[in-house]
Amino acid sequence: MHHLVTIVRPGNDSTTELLVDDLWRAGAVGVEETDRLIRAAFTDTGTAASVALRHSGWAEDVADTTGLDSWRDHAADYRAGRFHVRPPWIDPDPTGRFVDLVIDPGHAFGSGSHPTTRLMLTALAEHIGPGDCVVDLGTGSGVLAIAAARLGADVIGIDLDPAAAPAVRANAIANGVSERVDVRISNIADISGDEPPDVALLNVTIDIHESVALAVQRLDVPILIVAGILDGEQAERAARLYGRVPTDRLGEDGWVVLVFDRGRNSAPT
Amino acid sequence: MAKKQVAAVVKIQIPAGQASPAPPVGTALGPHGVAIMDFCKDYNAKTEDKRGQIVPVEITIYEDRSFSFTLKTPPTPFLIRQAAGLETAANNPGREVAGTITKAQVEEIANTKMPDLNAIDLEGAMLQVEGTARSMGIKVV
Repeated sequence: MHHLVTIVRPGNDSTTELLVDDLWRAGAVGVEETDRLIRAAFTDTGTAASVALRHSGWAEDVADTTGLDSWRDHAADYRAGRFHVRPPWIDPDPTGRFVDLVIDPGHAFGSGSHPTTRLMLTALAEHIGPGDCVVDLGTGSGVLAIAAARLGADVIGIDLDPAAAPAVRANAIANGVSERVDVRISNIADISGDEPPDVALLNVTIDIHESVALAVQRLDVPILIVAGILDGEQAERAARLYGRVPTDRLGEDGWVVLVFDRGRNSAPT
Repeated sequence: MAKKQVAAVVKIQIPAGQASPAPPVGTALGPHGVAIMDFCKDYNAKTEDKRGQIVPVEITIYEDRSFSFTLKTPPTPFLIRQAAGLETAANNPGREVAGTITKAQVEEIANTKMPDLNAIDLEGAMLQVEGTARSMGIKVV
């Protein structure tokens, strides 16, 4: 639960600047500015009330999920690599030339419309095949985990966000791969002890890459596919973090996917 | 690509790398039909190197609900408090901050802020920064 304080915007810009600064000093977590209003979110109800009082505004309680569903009315389908990705309310591709992927993201990350997701889907189609054991770290809505399962792999999806579990399970059922997708709400360190995976997928931001890189290195996967990073400095940093040289890279809109493929263990080297 | 029709422009200030779908991001973008999670991912990736700063963002939403955004420079009072060595997070709201900054720091802030200020030259920008500092209760020495 957050507490949103709304204040009428002062007439002049420098007064507004100082007012907004007061909101930050009071502990705001974010501030929205419109032409006529200033809205600041607080996590503490007492703080919100006293800020509202000080600036003649008003405070209201707002659920954390407010607004999260309204984009659904505008969700569209798209094609990436061999996949046709669509929300359940859009019809499958009539040509049958694509692997159909039905994704309802719920509240978890990953509608699949983001460039990094599209790039990952393209990379998956090239590197994953039947019988592979795949782990998807930071699975979110499970779009990549389910895509891998649709290619015939057995997948473990891992996420710290509890919202991910129901979303992944529902999406796995919708795609007929619930028996091949296992979802766990846990830390990456917890996957040790399982059968070592052939492929690890990480579509997460660079700071998360930084915090999990060591644990991922310990997994010692033959094929590592990482995304969620910007081309340039972030891509170089990611390659350093995993201590491997990319064997393939895909890019779109400034985002990149890096593939580190040293060949499967069973394959002759 | 044909120019897309702009449906709305939303301005939000958020700490760098910390956008989440919770308010005020969700409440500001939700009504416009933007995929909020996509925005958060983009914003956090692009501000990751600015952690510890407040990075305002101006989001342009098009009629097909796609969006683009521009990052702005941190608010002047925030930069002034940072330069004065004062807590940049919560401290004594509702009261003036007391402290000092140097002329050189004013120039540095003016330089940072230049892209977003309507000042003709650096001198004009410095005057604006000094004005803000004064009204915050911070002396320029």
